[in-house]
Amino acid sequence: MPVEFFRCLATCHTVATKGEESPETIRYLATSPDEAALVTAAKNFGFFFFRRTTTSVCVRETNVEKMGMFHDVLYDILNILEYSSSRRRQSVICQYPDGRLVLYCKGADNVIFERLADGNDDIKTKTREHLENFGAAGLRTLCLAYKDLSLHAYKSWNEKLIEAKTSLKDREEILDEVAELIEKDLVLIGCTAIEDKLQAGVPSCIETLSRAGIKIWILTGDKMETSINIAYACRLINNDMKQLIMSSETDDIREIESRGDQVEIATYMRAAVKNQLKKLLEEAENSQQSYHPNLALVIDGKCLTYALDPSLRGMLLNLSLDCSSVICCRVSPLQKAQVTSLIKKDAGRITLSIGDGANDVSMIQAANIGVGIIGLEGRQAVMASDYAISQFRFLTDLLLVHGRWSYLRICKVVTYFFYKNLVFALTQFFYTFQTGFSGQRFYDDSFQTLYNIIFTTLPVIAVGLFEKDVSASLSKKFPELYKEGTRNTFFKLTVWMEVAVVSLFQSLVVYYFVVASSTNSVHSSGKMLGLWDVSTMAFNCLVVIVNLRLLLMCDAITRWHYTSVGLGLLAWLAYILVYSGVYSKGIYSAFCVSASTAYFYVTFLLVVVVALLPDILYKGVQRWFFPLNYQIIQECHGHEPDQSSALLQIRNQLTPDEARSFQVAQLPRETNTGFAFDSPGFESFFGEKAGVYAPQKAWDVARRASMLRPKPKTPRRD
Amino acid sequence: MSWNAPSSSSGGAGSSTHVSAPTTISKRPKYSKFTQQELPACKPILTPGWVISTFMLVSIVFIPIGVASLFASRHVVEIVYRYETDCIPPASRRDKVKYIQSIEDKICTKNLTVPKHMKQPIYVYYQLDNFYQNHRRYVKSRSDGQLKYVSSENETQDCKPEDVANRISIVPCGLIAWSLFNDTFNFSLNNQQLAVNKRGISWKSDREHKFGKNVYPKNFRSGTLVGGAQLDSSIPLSEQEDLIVWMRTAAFPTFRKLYGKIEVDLEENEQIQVTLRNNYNTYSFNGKKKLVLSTTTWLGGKNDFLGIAYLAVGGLCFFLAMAFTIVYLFKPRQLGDPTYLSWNQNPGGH
Repeated sequence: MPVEFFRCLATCHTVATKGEESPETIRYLATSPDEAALVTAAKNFGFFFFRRTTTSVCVRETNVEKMGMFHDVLYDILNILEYSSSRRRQSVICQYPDGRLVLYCKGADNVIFERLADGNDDIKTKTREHLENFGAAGLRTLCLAYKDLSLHAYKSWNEKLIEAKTSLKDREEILDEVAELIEKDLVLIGCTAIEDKLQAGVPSCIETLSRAGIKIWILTGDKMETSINIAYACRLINNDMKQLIMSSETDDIREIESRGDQVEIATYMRAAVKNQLKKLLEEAENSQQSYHPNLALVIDGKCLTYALDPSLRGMLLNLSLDCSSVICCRVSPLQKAQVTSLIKKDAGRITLSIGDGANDVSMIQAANIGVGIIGLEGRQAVMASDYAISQFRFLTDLLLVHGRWSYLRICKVVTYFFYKNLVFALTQFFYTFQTGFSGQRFYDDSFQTLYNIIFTTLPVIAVGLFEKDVSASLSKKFPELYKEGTRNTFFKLTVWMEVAVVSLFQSLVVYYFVVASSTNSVHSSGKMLGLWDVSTMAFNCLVVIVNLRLLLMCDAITRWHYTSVGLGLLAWLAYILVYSGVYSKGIYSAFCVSASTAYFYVTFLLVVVVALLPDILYKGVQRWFFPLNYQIIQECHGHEPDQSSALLQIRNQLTPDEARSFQVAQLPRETNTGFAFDSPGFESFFGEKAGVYAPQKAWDVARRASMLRPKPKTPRRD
Repeated sequence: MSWNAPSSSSGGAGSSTHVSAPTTISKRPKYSKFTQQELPACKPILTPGWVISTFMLVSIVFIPIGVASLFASRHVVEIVYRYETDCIPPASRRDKVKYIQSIEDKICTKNLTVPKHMKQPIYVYYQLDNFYQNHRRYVKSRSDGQLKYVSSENETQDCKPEDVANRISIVPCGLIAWSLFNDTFNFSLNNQQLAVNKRGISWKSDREHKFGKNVYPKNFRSGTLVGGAQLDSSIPLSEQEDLIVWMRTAAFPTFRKLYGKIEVDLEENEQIQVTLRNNYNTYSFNGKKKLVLSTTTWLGGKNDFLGIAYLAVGGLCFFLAMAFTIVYLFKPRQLGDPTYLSWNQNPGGH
């Protein structure tokens, strides 16, 4: 049996090799690191897969009887039934050199158990026990099985397969069906467990994010025990929390499933899920009334299938919104997407999906924001994502620093655009009433054109690039600031109303203050101003006001702001001097004429100050009596210089524990693959060498024997 | 998965023995304060101190300016005489349009009392109300090229319907010139004629650059539409200052235009007799006509608005500054007090 176990590992995979064909130098290229790990494990146990041809796999097997002897075995791979997220298993049919035909199958435990032949109950129960232990220790498990095939049975099946492969319609489904025909009556060999380490800084990152008011859900394909364990490791669940568990792994369900009637299973499941949901919802409401600490919902994929049914969706949503953290385990990629869109569409929340594997692609695409982690699991997630980061904990920077800044910047830029165009358009609007509604323009055509293109453009770009209310380090130190974004503090209706009122006021000031006295003579020589003189004066005031208000609403004014505002105003001055200086119809010398009067300057000062004073008043009063959080933090830390290279710092806020695991992760690994069972205690060994203390892990061989109860602190994440 | 952390040092050490160490290809962009968002920035915080001092400063600057402007405005002596009804004989007042369109001599006289000593020069204006010189069609009904260059005489495409008459281009063409104001005012003091100087009533830039020295009125008002004043075709446009003033179109339907200057002082309570020729037809659109005599100061004519606005804003700012100071003294808010943070005030919830 052990031989079959490792043969299965060495043959049933889609790994390619690279480099010299010796155990030390060979490198395995796999679509998932798990697969490579399993092949490596087989190698270390004496079943060295070293070559793949189009039809065969070469394995150098240690002779079981005589130690130290090798012989190369060539297995003909007749078919590969590939892994897919719906099948959740992978099979190969290989032919031994002596002609024996075997199907090796490797897949998720529930999938394999469904397809086992009767009998062999003791190995099944034993394996189940193992699986539970491994899961509780936070390991990722797979089950292995095999089946001997007769040549005749294989041949008749192969014909069907070829037919399926060449079918033009629904090929995928037909292939699955055909695979289903042969992947049955399997014999269980055993199970594997792989440690998938949690990246450094994940727990503190998650803690920071939840302080920022972000609710975190885990959607994972792992077993329930594993997922709960991860959630503990990520501090999503702690011992104070009440866990609401919806599992399909109950005895009743198992019993009904064993009968195999699909319709019966479905009806029973639906009823069960409904009852459970009702019960949990009541429980959640009760505990909310009694101020019970936070709730955590754990639900598995099978239950989710029924809970996502339109009739139960609402209940599920209410329940999950009551909980502070939700863990969905054993979910398929499609369900990940469904859950994401449940939150996005039904609850109307903004969702962000982050993942590193190909199975996360659908949820990354379903969410409002998709983030891919560049990792060992391939690039699919990254390709599908909006943002790609190299480690999970950089999510803090992405959201709390750059996300927050972007939000702030976009809000300011958009409201500013709204403001400046409204002020501009309103003055024109007021003038219409004075022209007998003939449509005469208040400003010269070229002013109107260049207003948005030149005179007021550059500064707002500077705001869009450089605006920040608090520095990067403070943003991360006070994650609560992020809530201003989730509550949309800077972009809600009241903000628009404020902007509209300010614009209305300023346009009234610009228009009526300039107009009010220009019906009279404004020069000691008694001469009068004409249409273009008045409009040039008003426009001059307008450009200055709009540019100065930009500086007023900035929280960080860099030299680019000054430069751009200066450039905008200079451009206006240069333009009007040149434009009214060369012969150009009505506007000719309008600026020089009006600027030759004292009235021009007196009005200018009045208009600019009066237009901007209410802004200052409003801001001053608001900050004084109703300060927002960011304003207080500005006041606390305003005098501190920006921490230089705060953004470049990768080791941000690692707890000592994490710092250690990070260092451990950096240890040299020439001979080790890094997987836990490969060489027990290696971390401690290298750790000592490098002067890093690495604690023994729960799955170290020495302790495995005594491992009866799951140890919760084994960080690992999907 | 943690061993793919982007630390270049461990990447090299990790795979050095057998496989040739991959040269570390770093995609990290070159460091610059610009790209790293670390530009030195001024972070203005509008503290109560700043608010109070801003308002104080504004009031300190504004109140003197306000006083000066108001003083200047009060210094101006202005006589306004609205004459569009007065100058129609009572018998004809029922049908004013018919009267104004008749060809008889429409002279009227009026005695104006000088309220206060008026120092020369005294400016004479006519003011029209409800006259939309800023109407879109009216504003563009002119040919700037034609006004300046003889060669552009035929650029009359914007001037319709006053572009050509008898197939010859009109100079100056367009509705603005055509509707030139043609009431005239004569002043006498104690039966002595007061000279009205009509030189230098237009802006120099208009005179020298917009109206040609060798462009003479031609074919003007020879069409069928009765317009305003007639132009002397022997005087070049650059010297026709009434036309130049008129053609600097006003921004609003109520406007004043400079008519001339009286260059003698007028004493208080002196009676000046005005002889008006009421020719201009504002009756068909209910326009008002006024005659204005006014002195000026550094700020121009009578203009209370600026002074009052400055004083009001300055006063308001002073009041606000005082109010804020009092609040600041009695109920100051400590800056940067973390207890004001919402999550400190309301722990647990939000």
